[in-house]
Amino acid sequence: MKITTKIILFINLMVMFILGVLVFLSYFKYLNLVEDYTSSQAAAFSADLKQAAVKAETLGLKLKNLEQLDDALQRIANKENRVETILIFNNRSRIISKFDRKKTNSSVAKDLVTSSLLKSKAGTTWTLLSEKNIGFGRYLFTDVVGTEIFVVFVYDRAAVQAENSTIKKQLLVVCLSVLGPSVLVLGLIIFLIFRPIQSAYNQIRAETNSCFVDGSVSRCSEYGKTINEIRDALLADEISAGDEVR
Amino acid sequence: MKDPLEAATSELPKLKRELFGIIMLVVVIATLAVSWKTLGIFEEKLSPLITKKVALVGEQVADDLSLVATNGIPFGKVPDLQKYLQNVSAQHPEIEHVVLERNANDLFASEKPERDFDLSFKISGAESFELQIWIDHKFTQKSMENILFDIGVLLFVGFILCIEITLSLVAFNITNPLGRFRLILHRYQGGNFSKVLRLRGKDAIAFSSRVIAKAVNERARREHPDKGGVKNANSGSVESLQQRSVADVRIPLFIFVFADELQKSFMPVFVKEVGTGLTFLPLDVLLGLPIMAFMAMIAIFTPLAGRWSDMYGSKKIYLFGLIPAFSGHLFCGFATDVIWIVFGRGLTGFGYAMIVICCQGYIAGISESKERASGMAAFVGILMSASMAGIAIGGILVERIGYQNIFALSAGLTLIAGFIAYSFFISEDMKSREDAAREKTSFLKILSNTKFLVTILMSAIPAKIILTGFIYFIIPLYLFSLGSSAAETARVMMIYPILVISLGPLSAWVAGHGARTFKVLVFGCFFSGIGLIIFHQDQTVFAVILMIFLMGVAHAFMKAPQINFIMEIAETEMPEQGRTAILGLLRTLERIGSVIGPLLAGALVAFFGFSSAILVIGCLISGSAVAMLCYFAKLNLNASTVSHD
Repeated sequence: MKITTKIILFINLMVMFILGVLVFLSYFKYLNLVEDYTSSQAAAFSADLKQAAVKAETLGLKLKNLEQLDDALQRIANKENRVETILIFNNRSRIISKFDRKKTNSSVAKDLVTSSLLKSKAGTTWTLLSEKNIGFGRYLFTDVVGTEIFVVFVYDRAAVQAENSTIKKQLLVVCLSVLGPSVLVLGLIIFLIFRPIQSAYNQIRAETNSCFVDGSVSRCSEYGKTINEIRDALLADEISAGDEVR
Repeated sequence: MKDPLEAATSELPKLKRELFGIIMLVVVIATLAVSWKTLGIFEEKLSPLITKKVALVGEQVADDLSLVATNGIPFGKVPDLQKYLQNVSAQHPEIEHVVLERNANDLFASEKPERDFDLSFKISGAESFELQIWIDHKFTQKSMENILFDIGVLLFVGFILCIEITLSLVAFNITNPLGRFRLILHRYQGGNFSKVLRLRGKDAIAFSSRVIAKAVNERARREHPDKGGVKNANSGSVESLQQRSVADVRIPLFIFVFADELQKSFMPVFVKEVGTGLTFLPLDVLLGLPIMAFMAMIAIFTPLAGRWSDMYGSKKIYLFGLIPAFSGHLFCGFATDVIWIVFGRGLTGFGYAMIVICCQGYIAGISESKERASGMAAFVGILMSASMAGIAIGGILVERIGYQNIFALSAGLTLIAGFIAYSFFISEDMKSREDAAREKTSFLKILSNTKFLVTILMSAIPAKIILTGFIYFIIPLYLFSLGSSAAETARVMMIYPILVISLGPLSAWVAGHGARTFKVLVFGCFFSGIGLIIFHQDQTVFAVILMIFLMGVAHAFMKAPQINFIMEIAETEMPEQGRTAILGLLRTLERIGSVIGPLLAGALVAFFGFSSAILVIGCLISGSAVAMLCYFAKLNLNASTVSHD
C-alpha cells in the first residue's frame, strides 16, 4: 500500500472514531437528561407521598396501616402509566407500602429494596438501572422512632426510552452526513500534503529497482549511488568467495 | 538529481505541521457541525418530555385544589395558597409561572408573562376557576448547556487523541522507518553488514529495505553456510536492526494510564456506595484507603520495579505488570466491601508502578541522546494527557454505564495496552543482575543534608498531600454533596492538569530567567494553600473551581523551581550520587505525601466536615511554606553572623 493511502486511511479512521465517540457520548448525555426529567417527576410524586406519610405520623397512625398511602400510590400509577412498581420501605428493608402493576415476584421487590438501601448510603437520591427497568429512589423522611423511610419508583425502561431508536437513527444520519464530506476533504488535503513525500518514496522504489536490483547507475541520485555502492560491495564479496571456491 | 531520502527527511517537519493543522481544523469543524445538529435533535425531543412533566405537576396541583373546593373551602380563605403556587414554580425549574384564574382574572393578581399560558387545568368542584401554567422555554436551552460543556470536554479529549495517534502514526510509518533505513545504509557504506532492517508493509522504504536485506542475507549464507541460513530462510540469517523509539511506548502507556484514570472522578463516591462491614475506623477515613493503598504501592514498588526493569527488560516487566493491574480493576468492579476495593487498588498500584517505570526505562534506553531527551518530555506529556482524558471520559461514562462497567472497561483497555506493548516494544539487552544491583544509591548520605530534608518535608510532601487529599479525595465527595454529577466533577478535576501542562513552559521560563528559585518555590507552596483558606466557606462549585485554579497555577510555577532548588542545595552530594539519584529520591519521598493525603483528608472530613477539612489542609500547606521560609531565613542569618564574626 502506498504511504499516502495508508496515512489517509488511518487518519480518516481516527477522525471517524473521534466523531463516533463524540456522538455516542452525547447520546449518553441525552439519555441522562431524559432520566433526569423522569426522576424529577418521581420527585414531584414523592413530595405527595411524603405529605401523606408525615400527616399520618403527626396523627399517630402506623404507616403500615395507612390506606391513604396505598391510595396515593394508586393515584400516582394512574397518572403515569410508565410506572411499573412503587415501593415505600424503611432502612430495615421492610416494605411499608407497595404498588405493583405487573404483580411481579416478591423477590424482585426485595432486590430493589436491597440495592436501594446500598445506594442510599451515598446520597438522598439514586438511580437503579437494570435491563428492563429503571428505578428512581429517594429518601422521604425519618419517623419519630428514627427509622428512615425511602421510596423507589420503577419505570419500564423501554417506555422511558421509547424515542431512543428514532434518535439513534437521526444521530447516525447526522454523523454520516458530517463524516462523508470530512473524510473526502481530509483525504484530498492529505493527498496534496503528501505529494512531495510520495514522489520521494516513488523515486526510492524506482532507484532501488534500477540501481540495486538491475545495477544501472544512469539517472541515479545520491541515494541510488549509495545503494549501488552497497550492491557492489556485496557482489565483490561474492566474487572473492567464488574465487576462493575455485 | 535530488536525493529522495534527503528530500523525504527534510519534508518531514513541514509535513507534520501541516498534517496536525489540517487534522485539528477538520476535527473542530466536524465536531461543531455534529454538535450543532445533535443539540437541535435533542432540543426537539426534550420539549415534549418537559411538557409532559409539567402536565403531571399541573394535574397534581389541580387535584389538591379540587380537594379544597369539594370540601367547600373558598380559595381566598386557604392560608398561604399564593405561597403554595409560588413554591410549585420554585420546586420545578421547568415551570416559569403558575396562576389560579377566576373568570379570566388572576386570583392573586401576580405578575405573569405577557405571552399566553402553555397549559391549563380545570378544577373539579370549582368550575369558574382555572389553573394556568407557563413553561420556562429557556429551561431546555439550560439543559443543553450541560451537554455543551461535555462536548467541549470531548473536543479537548479528541485533540489529545489526535495528537497521540497522529504522532504515533507518523513515527511508525514514516519517521522511524526512514531513520532506521538511513542508519542501516550508513552502516553498509562503512562495510558493516552485521544487521539487516526488516520493516513490515509494502511502502517504498519497506520494499527497499527488504530487497537490500535479502542481498545481505545471501551474503551471510555464503560466508557462513553452517549458521542456520537455510533454517531461517524467510526472515534471513542476519540479525535484525532493533532501535527503540518513543513511539513504541506512546500508545501502550497512554491507553494504560487512561484506563487507570477512568475511576478518578468517582472513586470516593463509589467506595461510599459499596460500604463496609468494618467499624473500627470512621467511614470518611475508610473512603480514602483505596487512594492511599494505590499511592503506597506506587511509592514502595517504583524503585524496585526500576531495578526489575533493568534486570529483566522493559517488555517483560510491562507484560508482567499488566497481571496485577488487570486483576486490580476486576477486584474493584466486583467489590462488595471497601476492603476489596483497597485490595484491588493496591494491586493496580503495583502494576502501575511497574508499567510506568519500565516505560520510563524504555525511553531512557533510546540510543540517540536528542531523541532520549525529547522522549522524557514526551513521557510526562503522555502521562498528563492520558490522565486528563481518562478523568473526563470516566466522569461522562459512569453516569450511563455504572461503576462496575467502568472497571470492566479499564480491565479491557489494560489488556489492549498489553497487546499493543507486546507488538510494539522491542526486546532489548538488559543489564546483568550484578550491574543492576550495584547501581544502588546511598540515600542516607543525601538525607543527611538538612536543607534537602526540609525542602522535601515543607514543600514536596505538602504539595502531594494537597493533590491526593484535596483533589483526588475531597473534591469528588464534596462536589457530590453539592449535587454535582460525575461528569461535572471530572470537568472540575481536569482544570488542575490543564493548568499544570499549559503553564509548565512559562514556569520553566520564569525559573530559567533570573527568578530566585527559592522565592518562587515558597510563594508557589504558600499560594497553593491560600485558595483553600479563602474559599473554604463558600459551598459552591464555583468556589471549588477557584480553589483548584489557584492551586493549579501555584503548582505549575512550583514544578521547575522545585527541581532547580533541590539541585542547588544538594550540590555537595551531586558529584558522588548523581543528578538522577537525587531526583529519584525526591520523587520517592514526595510520594509519602501522596499516601498521607487521602488518609489525612478522610480523618479531617470525618471529624470536622468538608469546609473545616479544606481550611485545615490549606493552613497546613501554606503554613509549611512559611515554616520553610523561616528555616532558610534563619540559616542565612546564622551564615551571615558567622561570616561577620
